Amino acid sequence: MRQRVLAFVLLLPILGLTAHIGWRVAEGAGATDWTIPITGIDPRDPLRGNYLIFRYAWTVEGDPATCDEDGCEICLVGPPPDGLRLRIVTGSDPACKYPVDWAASGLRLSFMAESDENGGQGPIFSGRFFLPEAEAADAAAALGSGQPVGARVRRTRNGRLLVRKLGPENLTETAP
Amino acid sequence: MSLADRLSDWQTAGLIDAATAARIAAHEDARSRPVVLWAVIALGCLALALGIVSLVASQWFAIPDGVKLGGHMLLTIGTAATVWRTRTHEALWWAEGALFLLATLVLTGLALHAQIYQLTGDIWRLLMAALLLAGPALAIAGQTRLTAYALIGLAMWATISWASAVDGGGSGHLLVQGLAIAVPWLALALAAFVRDRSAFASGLTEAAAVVILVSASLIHIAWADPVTGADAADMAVRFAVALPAAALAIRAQRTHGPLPRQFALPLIAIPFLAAALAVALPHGNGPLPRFVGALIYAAMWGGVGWVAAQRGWRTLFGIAIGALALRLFIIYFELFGTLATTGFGLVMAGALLIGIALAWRRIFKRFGS
Repeated sequence: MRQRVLAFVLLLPILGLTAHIGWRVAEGAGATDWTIPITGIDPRDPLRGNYLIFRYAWTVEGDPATCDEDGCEICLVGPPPDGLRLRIVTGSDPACKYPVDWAASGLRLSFMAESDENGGQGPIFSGRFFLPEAEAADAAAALGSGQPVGARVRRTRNGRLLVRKLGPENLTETAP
Repeated sequence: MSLADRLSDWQTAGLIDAATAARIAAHEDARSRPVVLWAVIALGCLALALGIVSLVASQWFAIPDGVKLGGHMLLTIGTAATVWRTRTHEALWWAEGALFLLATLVLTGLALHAQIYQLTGDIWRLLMAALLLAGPALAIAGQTRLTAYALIGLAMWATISWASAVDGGGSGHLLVQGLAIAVPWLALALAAFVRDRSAFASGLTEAAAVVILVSASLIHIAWADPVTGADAADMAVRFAVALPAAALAIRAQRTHGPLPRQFALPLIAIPFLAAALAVALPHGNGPLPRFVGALIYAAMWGGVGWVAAQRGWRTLFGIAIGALALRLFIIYFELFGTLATTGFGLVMAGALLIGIALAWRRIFKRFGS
């Protein structure tokens, strides 16, 4: 009995890790690819260790006042791979075909301190992306210089956004 | 002083003769280990390992995700197999090292998954997952004190992270925070059930006792701050969640040990009660609550000191006396603000401490000094 229990607890980590990998692979199956423009938040220091902190440069529709400290209910307008437009919704919206899971996507919400050129104090949706050390400096420089940068993002079936790649070349794929 | 010098001294003092000195020297030579040689080899091995890790890390992003995951999984399987095989052959430190490595691989594996799949979230999710996957192996297979410390450390880190991440006030959040409070008492209960692995059980008991006594002592600071009815009610819920764990620990230790039966109450129940009273009872911050708190603190450490004196546990007795002495000094600065009364209080405290030190020596004379 003791040997069986020991065998089970030694197998448990292996089974658990394998199940987790299977879960994430299954989650990625059927995911759609999107290209979303991004820009910097603080061009002086966009890096946190090997994480790049950036702002999604969406064209936002809907009422930001419905957002709270936990985030917003948001939808990508689409169709994929066009990730330029984002809509803030309240409750279930039948027109929302591509809802985004806020918490699982690791999004952060803040508001601009001053009004933009249109007089609005639009919401800022920020994210972060783990970059290899060799690429981090280049990406930070690109964000700071103002050149267009895009994020290749995969949206899973349950709405989680996974940033897979950053780079200036991505935006050319969605240019009208 | 080297052994040769000491042997020469003893011969000069007539304690041993030349033949005995030679036999002692030969015995010690046979037992000696090439410590310096081992240290240099260990340093070389460390440099080798760090170098390999650095080489892999420098090419990390060139390695396909499948290779990383597969390599990590093979390492994990190999380590688990090592634990299984070395336990059978009673190679204790190989087994314990492999067990520790297995737990580390679970933690690092989850972190690797987070990197590859770009997972986000609070760290408590990773720690709780690691605890659930690796904790049972540590609890079932652990044999040494170090493994016990690792298990209790992981459990506390995970549950405290979880408790900190949740917002206070909701009943679900109070349950989580109560679970974090319960961990050291659950460790005491586990120690009773694994008493056949004496070193592991002792490690769990010692680590849990340290956490309980230190936490219960620090919580006494709450007597110096007002506790409102609402705050006290929330804390009461948290301690109510932890109460079954404390009760289980008392019953398990009284029934199975390793603590002696009559010591389960002073070492387990009284610190729990003392901590709960400090934060689950509404009170102000005047001299009376602080005085009551000091009395409860003294009762708690007095109980610990009594247990230690009964068993001849000098270190624990010394810690108990030190804790009481510290609180004694603080109370005189707290309650008596004038120079004259503070001076009088310090004279009394100094006399009391000297008396305790002399009594300490008398108490432990009967255990042999």
